[in-house]
Amino acid sequence: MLEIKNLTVGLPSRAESGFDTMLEDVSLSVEAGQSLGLVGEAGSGKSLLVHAIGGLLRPPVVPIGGEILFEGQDLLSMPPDDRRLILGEELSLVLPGGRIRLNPLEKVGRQIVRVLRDHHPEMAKAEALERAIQLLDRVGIPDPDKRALAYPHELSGGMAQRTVVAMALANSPRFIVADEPTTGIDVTIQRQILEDFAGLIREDNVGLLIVTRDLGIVAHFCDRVAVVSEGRIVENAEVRTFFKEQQHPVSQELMRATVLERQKAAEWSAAAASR
Amino acid sequence: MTTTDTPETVDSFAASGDGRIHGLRRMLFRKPGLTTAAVYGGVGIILLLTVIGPSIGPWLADAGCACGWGSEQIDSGHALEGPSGTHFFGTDRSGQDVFSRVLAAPRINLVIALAATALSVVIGVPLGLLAGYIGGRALAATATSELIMRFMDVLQSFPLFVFAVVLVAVRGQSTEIVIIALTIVNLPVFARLARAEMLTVREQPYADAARILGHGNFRLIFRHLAPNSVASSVATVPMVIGFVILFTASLSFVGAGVKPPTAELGGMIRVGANNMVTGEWWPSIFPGVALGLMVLIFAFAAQDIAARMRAVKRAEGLMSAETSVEAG
Amino acid sequence: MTLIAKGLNALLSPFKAMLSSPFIRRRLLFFLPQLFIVTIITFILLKLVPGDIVDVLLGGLSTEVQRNSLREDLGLNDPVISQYFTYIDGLVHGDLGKSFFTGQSVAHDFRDRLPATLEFITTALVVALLIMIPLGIRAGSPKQTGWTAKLDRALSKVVTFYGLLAGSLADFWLALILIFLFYATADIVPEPGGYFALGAEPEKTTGFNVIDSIIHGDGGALKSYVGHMVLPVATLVFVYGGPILKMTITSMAEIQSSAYVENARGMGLKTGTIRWMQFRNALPPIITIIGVIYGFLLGGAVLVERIFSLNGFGNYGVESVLQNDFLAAQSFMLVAAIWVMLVYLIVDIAHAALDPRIRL
Repeated sequence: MLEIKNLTVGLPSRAESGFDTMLEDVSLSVEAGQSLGLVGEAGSGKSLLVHAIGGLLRPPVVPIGGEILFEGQDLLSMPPDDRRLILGEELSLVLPGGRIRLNPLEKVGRQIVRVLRDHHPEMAKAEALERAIQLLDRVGIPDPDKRALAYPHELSGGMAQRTVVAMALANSPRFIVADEPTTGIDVTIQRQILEDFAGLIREDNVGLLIVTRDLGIVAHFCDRVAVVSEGRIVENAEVRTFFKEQQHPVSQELMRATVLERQKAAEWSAAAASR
Repeated sequence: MTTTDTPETVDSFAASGDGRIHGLRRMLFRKPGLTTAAVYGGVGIILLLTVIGPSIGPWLADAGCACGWGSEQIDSGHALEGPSGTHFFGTDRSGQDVFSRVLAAPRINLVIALAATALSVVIGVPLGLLAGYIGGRALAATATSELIMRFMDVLQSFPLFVFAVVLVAVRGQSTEIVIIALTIVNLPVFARLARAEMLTVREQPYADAARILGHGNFRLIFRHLAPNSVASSVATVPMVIGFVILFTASLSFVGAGVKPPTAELGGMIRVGANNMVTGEWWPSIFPGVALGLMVLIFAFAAQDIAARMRAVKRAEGLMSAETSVEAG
Repeated sequence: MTLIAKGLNALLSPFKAMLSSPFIRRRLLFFLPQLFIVTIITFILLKLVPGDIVDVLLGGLSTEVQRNSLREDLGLNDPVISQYFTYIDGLVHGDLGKSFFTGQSVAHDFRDRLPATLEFITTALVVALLIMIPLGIRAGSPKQTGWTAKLDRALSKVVTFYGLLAGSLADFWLALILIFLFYATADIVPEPGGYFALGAEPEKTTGFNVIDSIIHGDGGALKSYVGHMVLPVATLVFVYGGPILKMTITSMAEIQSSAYVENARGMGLKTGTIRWMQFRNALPPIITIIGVIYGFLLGGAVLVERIFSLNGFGNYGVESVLQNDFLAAQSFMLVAAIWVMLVYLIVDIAHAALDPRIRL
């Protein structure tokens, strides 16, 4: 469904010798009804990949080679106007950051209405607003009909992030690319959103590419996992195999770090219990 | 990791630790481009003219060049003559050589600009720092701070130009009064900038740290806060210099600035203004071009400094963002 | 009666809503102390005149009797504090003093000149906005792909340079250049001097030249006015359009690289939707700079007024100073300062209307 073939991204090198690459020869593929977790350390190029998929790279950073095929169409070579019709409609992005992703001057309900009506001009305003409120409810926002009238600065960080998720889900996309979609959200709500994603994958055959630093999310919700390091995919494996044994040193390092965290958490809870 | 950065910083994203620092260094000390070199070359030429400008005409005369003139010398037999081999920029209506005067004039303009800017920095920045530091604390302190800033508001709401003209008119036309008038005009600019920065800086963790360490107010302000609060004021200096040069010229143009016969760009434009209507363009055009160039060079310098400061700010933001990610 | 009340109510309701905003209330509260400080400064200004103000006002040739009666008139024999209250009392009753130069009351002189100057600077500002805002939107959000990308990049370079240039040119010098080019050389505009050609003035009713020309059906006057105002307006547009353009570009570019515009693009919103979002968010600093310029121009267009011999408000101010007519100068400063403060007040209200975060 989404297939990335030999994608290279970079910027013109100051040494005049071509390009400094930031993503090199990245190939990935995610089928409908499947989910892929993309993990890697900060600055490895995960987010850059998401930007490339959404056509959001900013010059001087440009795609240098390769293809990003969505249902056979290359998103990279497509005219921006055609890409716009796909984005937010068939393929949705969830970008990280929460409140900074929302227009500060507009009520959040209205912002979701825009996502709906820019893709479906025939939809009546009242209907769109009704749907926006449903969406807010779906991502676990209490009092959604009141919150729809709130400005972003009146929402908590977690609620703002959930609104961003609601926007992405608005037009029932068939593929979701989510970059740290649940960072900054309470653990319980985080679970609710991820289970919502899982439900979409199971029942509606939606595809998911999820960028995360949390291997726990990968273990619970993904079919495959790809590890990015310094702009390259260093490992791409079935989740089951991956958690049994990691091939690449970077993967092992990531695993070790997570395990250490877990151990620490276990120690802490033990310590707390013994008091 | 944020994705809001502008293109220049994107390269530091993908790079590893080393690359990031390298990128920062590249932003700060990028090789001076042609424009940058031209801008600072221009500033150099202005400074040079300030020192030797008024002497160039007489020197040329001493060297036996037919084109040499003192900037206040009058050749009444050759009034209002067009540019020629003798008078490169022609002569004005009283027969003064426009070329020598254009070379001589930047001195007075720049001296006034530097003096007025320096004075408004010296008075305005401490006022702003004070207002920023004491604001929002005890009642009396807050009141003082508010009073300072409201006074600056009001000062800025006055018609600056007429304000300066009035000052010059009531206290007499002299270079000192022009400098004082321009100092008052620019005071609020620096006070505001310094206050705004102090307000953010005083909330920084290191300010708390210094406070906890028991540093007194005095030491806290001078050692820790003030040096971190003056960046935007410093960056604004070239712009203000340019502005003051223009303002001085405007004052002289209405006859409330530098007294003739001292060569000054605005005054020279004034002398030629009436000739312009009848088609003799040279007495006004040349000083006007010189004035425009001078201010433009300072505007470019201001832009260059602002760009560098933005790079520093962005780099700092980037680094603190990274630290928080690593810590979190 | 109720109809009028209803209409008034409808007209005022948006303002009533604004009044419920704590920010606006605080802002309005500030206005009075500001006024107070302004009057103190203008009051002190007159005291700064060295020597005896009466001598300065009357000139060298005056008798002791004249001087004493003027001193009595101005209340100069009273204590300073009561002089200030007399001054305020006069202001409250619209008494701005008497101009020794024109021989009229200052208020009368202002009524004569303010409308024409307001008309002049407003025209220039509107023209500047009509040109600079669209240009700035375009240059501030350049297309990054497609065939227009190169054009956009070139445009943004040209426009950036113009922004710097406009800020560096003396308006009076530019005015002279324009006169030289379009009057002395090309001879396509009427001889500079005044709002109208001699004898073409319309009958004076409102003091606004265009409005007077129109209500008296004086087409010739209108034509003469437009011809005479082309160069002055062009001068102001060129010089003061620069900062507006620059701010529009900077602000648009900053918003374009914001996280929410990126998100909007990722959501596949229409280009028009995104532009509008971008513009709304870019607007506050643009409004600020427009306010600063509009406030400044009432007294600050003086050099252009002088060059084109427009007998306007700013010119009156400078002329009164140069003629030692300090009572007129004092009132000029007062009115100009109040104008600036009013414009800034409106700017702040506009900010609050635009941005929900400020209304707190």
